[in-house]
Amino acid sequence: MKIRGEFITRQILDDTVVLPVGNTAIEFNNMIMLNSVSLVIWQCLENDVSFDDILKAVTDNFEVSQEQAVADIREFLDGMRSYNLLDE
Amino acid sequence: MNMPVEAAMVEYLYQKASASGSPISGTFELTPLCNMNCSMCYVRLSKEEQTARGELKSAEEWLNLARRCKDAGMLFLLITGGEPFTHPEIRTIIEELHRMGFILTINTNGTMIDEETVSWLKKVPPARINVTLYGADNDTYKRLCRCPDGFSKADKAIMLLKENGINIKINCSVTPYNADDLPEIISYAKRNEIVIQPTAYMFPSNKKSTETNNEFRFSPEKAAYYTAYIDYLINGKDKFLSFSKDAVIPADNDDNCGKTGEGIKCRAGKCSFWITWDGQILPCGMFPRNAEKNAFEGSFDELWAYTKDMTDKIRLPADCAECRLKKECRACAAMVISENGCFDKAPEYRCRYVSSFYTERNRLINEITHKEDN
Repeated sequence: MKIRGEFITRQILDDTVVLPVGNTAIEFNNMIMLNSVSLVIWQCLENDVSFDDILKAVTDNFEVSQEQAVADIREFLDGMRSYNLLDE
Repeated sequence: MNMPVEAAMVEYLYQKASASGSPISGTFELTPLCNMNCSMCYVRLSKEEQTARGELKSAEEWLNLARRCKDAGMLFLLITGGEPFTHPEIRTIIEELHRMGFILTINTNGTMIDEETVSWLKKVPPARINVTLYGADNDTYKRLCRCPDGFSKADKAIMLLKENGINIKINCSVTPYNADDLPEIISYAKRNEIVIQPTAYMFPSNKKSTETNNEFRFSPEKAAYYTAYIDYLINGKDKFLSFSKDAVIPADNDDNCGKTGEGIKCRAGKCSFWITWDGQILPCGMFPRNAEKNAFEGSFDELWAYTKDMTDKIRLPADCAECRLKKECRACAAMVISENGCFDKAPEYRCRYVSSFYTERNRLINEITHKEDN
């Protein structure tokens, strides 16, 4: 799975903000704010990855249980699917 | 899916930027030139007047400035004029700003946006285009804007933008020249399911007399009447009458005069700034154009520190702090300075506007109910 569309990531104050660019901005005229966990997920999704690849990146970077990481990743991916921002 | 940038995230970022004094929001006034010539415009200059005051800045100059603003933390950027689409390098400017990663809004009269423009805009879509409607037909555009086919062109632009999925808002400045068109302008927005924001309070033009009865804006009492009328037209009779039970004047800004000697409350100079076409950096575009710094020279951090310092020194009028109507009034610093030319006197036009609001709203309620009785 991979991010669908073209985006720019910016650091605003201490928040990470993701903005759509080009045609993506017509379909998704909004911004996404990423916390530290969702930033790692987003960075994984800049390449074509599997769920397990993302899970490994999250558990490698954060002290979190496997169950919690799975739940967080699923929630984020569901959010992306609801905006049609995921190619699977 | 076409959805506006979420208000909650925007508010969160603005509050955070205000608290830390970070310049998150800027306005670039690309040009004072306009293809129309509206009676009440506070910016427009003729080509001769502009040339006498200075050259327009090039795309490269604006883009260099934008890069410095981006490094300083600017995220929200409003492009305005004059009419920004008259700038000879508007496309280069917008394309590059879009690629830099700003949440871009463009103010326009819409009359220079055709099929080809929309086809180009779709490749670099701004978050929103604010189209100002000055009337509901070409006669009003001819009278108010000296542009005989202005409505046809603006209408075509609005339809094209909408059909192509570009987010639009309609702005409308209500004046004695176009007040009769107001019901149709609001119907037009409703029919086309476009958000509309009309306003009957007009800042005095900084180019013309600041007398309260100058011809391009209403008397304060008439402006109060039309503020209520806008509320009625947008919300419909039932909601208007229901809202009217509460003594609230529809807000037209986010400011509110504080205690005597307090500084300004809005975001101007706290986290937002305005660059005029000739390079002045101001806390807000309605401030007098006498800034000593040129935004196209020097470090942006220094310019921003200068703007914040200029804002910090502003103290609101004692009369406003003690006024019983101050919560309803929300007279902002820009209103005070543009009405009076100084910060130490209450803005008389605004005082009359606010103090007459409830009388004028009752007048409107009587008219509405009387019409019904007949």
